[in-house]
Amino acid sequence: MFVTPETIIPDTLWREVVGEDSETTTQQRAAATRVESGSFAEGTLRLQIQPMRVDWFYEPPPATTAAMPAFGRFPAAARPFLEFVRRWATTGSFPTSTRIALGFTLIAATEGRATGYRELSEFIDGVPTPDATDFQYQVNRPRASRAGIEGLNINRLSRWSVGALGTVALLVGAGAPHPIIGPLQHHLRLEVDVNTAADFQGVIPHDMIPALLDDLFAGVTEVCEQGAHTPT
Amino acid sequence: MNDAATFPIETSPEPREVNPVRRSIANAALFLKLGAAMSEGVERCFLNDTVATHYMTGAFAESSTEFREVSPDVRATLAAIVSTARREIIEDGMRNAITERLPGVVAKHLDVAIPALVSLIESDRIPPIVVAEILKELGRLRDVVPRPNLRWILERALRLPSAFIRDGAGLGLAQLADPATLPYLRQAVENEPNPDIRSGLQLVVDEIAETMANDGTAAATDQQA
Repeated sequence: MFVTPETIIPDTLWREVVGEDSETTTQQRAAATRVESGSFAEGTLRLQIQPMRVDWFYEPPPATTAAMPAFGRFPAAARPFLEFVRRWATTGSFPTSTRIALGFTLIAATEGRATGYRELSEFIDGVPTPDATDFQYQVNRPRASRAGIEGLNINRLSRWSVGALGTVALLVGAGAPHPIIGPLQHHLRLEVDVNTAADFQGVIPHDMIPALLDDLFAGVTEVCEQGAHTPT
Repeated sequence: MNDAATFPIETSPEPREVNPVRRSIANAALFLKLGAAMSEGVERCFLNDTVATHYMTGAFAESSTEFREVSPDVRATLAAIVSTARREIIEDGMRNAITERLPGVVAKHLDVAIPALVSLIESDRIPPIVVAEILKELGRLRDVVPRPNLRWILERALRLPSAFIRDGAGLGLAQLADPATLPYLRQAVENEPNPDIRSGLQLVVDEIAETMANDGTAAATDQQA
């Protein structure tokens, strides 16, 4: 979230919101940045505070196998984080904000690049034939907010691609190490950033934040379910 | 075996054409990580080839709220400008390192320059007269930098303890001439303890309000015509 110029985030924010002290705190004076983190639900919660913005990140634990680190199926896996943010929004420690964003990175396994491109074409325009590589598509489909805040638009920015995860087995013995590259595991990747438009003047009313969070999450779901095709 | 040597990083299926320098850095990072994973026997780690690809293709989107790390290069460039300005005599209307070099850096690194400047200003390591010069210069960049970012840094500076800085912020806001700053400016006039700065801020309020009134009159005249 982007805060108003007069906002000063207290050092106690983590404790106030999470209920206990963070496990790690890092202060970068040169960057005027404070980062705190700790265990939360199935992963790690990270709070990053900078002069203009406050970010909460919910991240899965590092993978111990050749699979992308992930929480589980969407939207159920997003529930702990959403409930956490909704709870924060109803407290007095929620800062006065001018802009709020909700973002997710979603992945879905696919057989290979060609299959991935075919599956992507169900969601977006302009997907190339499988002889092309490194395709990436980014588009914003803004719409008016349904949270009841006059003049507020929300951006539904999505970035689509097919990625792959590979492994390297490194054989080390006498002589030079010998890498053995394993098979690639492909996946569809969607990075979605649903946020209130930057041109909104004034602050977002505190009592409207829960409704706005629901609206932002609805925007995420719309992108996931309907894709980002050009409207006809 | 060293379990800590595994690190999953996403890759792209095919390597793309990348800048040779970035490629070298990515390769060096990969080999360092592979080196760290070495011990007797077989270690498994994950291919880390296209981090550079991801950064290169991650085009800046105006609607994006993605957090962008300020690169050490940008920090170093801004620090060098400030360092040069500290040794200069800063006077109204005279050119200096800030007026000559800051606009170029801000225009080139639009998405990270303002947060980097906020960090610099709030670090309390820059003389107030230099900060004031930065704020004045930022006001002149009204057609280069997104207005909300400029408003934020200038309005915030109106509350800083140094009178020099508050004066610079007022002059920056005068250059910006954005009606959306009026509520903050009016509040700053009420709270300003220094009478000279207070009258200067009041002038800025009056100028912006007058411009708004004239614009409104011109628009009404246009409509009647």
